[in-house]
Amino acid sequence: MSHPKRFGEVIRARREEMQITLRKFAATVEMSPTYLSKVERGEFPPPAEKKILAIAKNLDLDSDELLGLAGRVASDVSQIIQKQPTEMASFLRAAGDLPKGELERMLRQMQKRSKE
Amino acid sequence: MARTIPYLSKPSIASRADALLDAFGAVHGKVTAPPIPVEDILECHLKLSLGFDDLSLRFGSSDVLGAIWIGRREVLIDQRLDPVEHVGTEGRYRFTIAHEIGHWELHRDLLTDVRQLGFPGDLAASPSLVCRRSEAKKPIEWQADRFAADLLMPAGVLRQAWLATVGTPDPLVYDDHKNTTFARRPYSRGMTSIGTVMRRSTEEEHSYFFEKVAREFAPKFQVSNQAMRIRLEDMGLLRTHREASLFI
Repeated sequence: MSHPKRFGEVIRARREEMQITLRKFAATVEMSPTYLSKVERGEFPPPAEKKILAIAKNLDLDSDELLGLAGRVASDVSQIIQKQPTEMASFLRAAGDLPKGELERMLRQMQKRSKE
Repeated sequence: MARTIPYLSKPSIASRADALLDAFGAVHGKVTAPPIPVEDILECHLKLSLGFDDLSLRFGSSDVLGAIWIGRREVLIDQRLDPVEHVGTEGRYRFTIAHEIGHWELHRDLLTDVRQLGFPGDLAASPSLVCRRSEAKKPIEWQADRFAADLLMPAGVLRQAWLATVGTPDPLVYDDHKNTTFARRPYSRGMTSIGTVMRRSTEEEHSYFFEKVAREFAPKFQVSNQAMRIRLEDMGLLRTHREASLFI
C-alpha cells in the first residue's frame, strides 16, 4: 500500500542502521541533503522512479517494495502490461487474490518454463 | 521558561569535547588531523537523527539556526545552512552541528521535551531547545558555542597544525610583524568605497594580519575564518603585543 510518510521512515531507518550520514547518502543518490531530509520526514513526496531505484540499491532494499511504498509501479512492469493489456489485466485480476505462497509457487513454475 | 544553567568553566567544557572526540576515536578510529568529522559524531556515534528544514517557517523567525529534540534524538538545521545547496555555508553549518552536539553533551539532562505528542517524526511537538542567533549570549547558548569551538578546533590538533604551518609552537605577535608586507593591507588600486575606508580606519590595526593568519587554518578545519581567528586569539597563538596583557 502506498504510504509516502512510511516511505521516508523506511529509508531513514535503514540509512541510520547502516550508519550512513544524511549528507553522504544524499551525495550518493544525487539529491541535496535538504531534499532528502524532507523526503525522509514525509514533508516531500517520494522522488522519481530513477531516484527510488538508486535509493533502494544503495540501501540494499527491494526496489519493487520501495516503489510500492511510494505508490509507484516500476516502468518495466507498466510496459509489460501495456504490451498485452487485456490478457495482463485479466491475469493480474485473477492473481490478485492469491495468497503470497501460492503466488510464489506459480512464479517459480513460470520461471522454470521460460528457461526451457 | 526560566532555566538555571550550572556554570561550566572553559577548561571543563574543553575536556568534555575532548572526551567525546576520544570516545568517537575509540570506535571509529582516532581523529588525528582536521577536519573533525562532526556529522559522523552526531549521526553515527551519538545516533541522533539529522535533518534540514525551513526553520524560519517552522518557528516564525529568520533567526533560528538549529533545534534539538532530546527525547526524540533529533536535530534540525535551518536549510539555509545546507552546504550543498548554498555554497559558502560549510563553516556555519559545521559550527551549528557542533553546537547542537554541545547541547546534547552538556545539557540533555536539563532539557526535557515539553510535549511528546503524535507519532514518531511528528515535529508538532515543541523542541527541547531552539537555537537563535539573537540569543547567543544566553549561558546555555554560550556553553554550546564554546563546546563547538573546542570540538571543531581541538587545542591539541590545532597546535599541531600551527607547528606544521608556522614552524614553531610560539604565538605570532603583531608587533613583530607590523612592518612586513605580509601584515600590511595592500593598497587597493581601484576605488575603495567610503564605507570600506571608514570601516578600515576604525578597525584595529592588527585585524588584517590576524585574519590573514587565520585564513591559513580555517579551510583545513572547515570552519569560518572568523571562528578560526577567535580561536587562535583565545588560545594565545595570535597576540598584538609581546608582553602578556589583559587586552590581546
